[in-house]
Amino acid sequence: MLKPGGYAVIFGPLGVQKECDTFSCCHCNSVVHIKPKCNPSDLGGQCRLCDKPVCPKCVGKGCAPFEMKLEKWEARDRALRSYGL
Amino acid sequence: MANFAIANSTAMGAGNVQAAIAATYKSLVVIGNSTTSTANLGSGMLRRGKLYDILIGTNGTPADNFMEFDVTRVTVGTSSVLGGGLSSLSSTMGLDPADSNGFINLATINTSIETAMTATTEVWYVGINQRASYRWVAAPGSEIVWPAVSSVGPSNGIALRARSAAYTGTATATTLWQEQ
Repeated sequence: MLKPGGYAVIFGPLGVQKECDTFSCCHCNSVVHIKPKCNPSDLGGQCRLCDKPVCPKCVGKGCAPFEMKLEKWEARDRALRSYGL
Repeated sequence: MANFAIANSTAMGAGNVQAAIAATYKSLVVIGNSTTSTANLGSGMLRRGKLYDILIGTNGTPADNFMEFDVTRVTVGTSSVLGGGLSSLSSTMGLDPADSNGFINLATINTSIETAMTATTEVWYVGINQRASYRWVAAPGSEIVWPAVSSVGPSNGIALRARSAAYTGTATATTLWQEQ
């Protein structure tokens, strides 16, 4: 994968057994392992607004960047704590 | 932005001993924000965290069994509820000795009370043979992030867990993470 979001290695008793790139979904932050030569549609898709890969669970659900979700959660938490809740 | 390493080993002198793996998930490492005071946490101090490196394996008698590991978002309570807290030793876990102030997040290993956490979303999952070990390293910007929220948020931490239908020994885990 061009510009992977991570790298995974499985070490067996005889040494490295399997290695693959990974990417993190830009909408839910899930890590997806990229199986060599797999069908690209099995990996999820590409968000055309973020221009980043999304996992199979987030395909077709609209654009909701994870960073935006984090900021929303933190703003809600700050508000609730300011109210003493 | 200090980096820390946490393994589910009691060699450093804190935390619970490794628990036997069972058919239901057992938490190896739990990191997240807490509303209660820890060694470096005044009330209301919260920090985002980024998990960027995971190493997992087993240390029981070798056999061919299927193991499942995952990282799930959880709502973390307090160390007194979870057990196995490491906050008293947080100043020794920085990768850079200059980060001697330790971490503000709450970290526990081999927590004895799984029901004290509410698992919400699985963000990383791998199934491997019990004889194998595994490592995942995130590229910068692709880490597993948890928000700087207290326990009222949808999730305020992450848990690295393991389970197996056949293996009943113990599992090992090392996590490298960054506190923002």
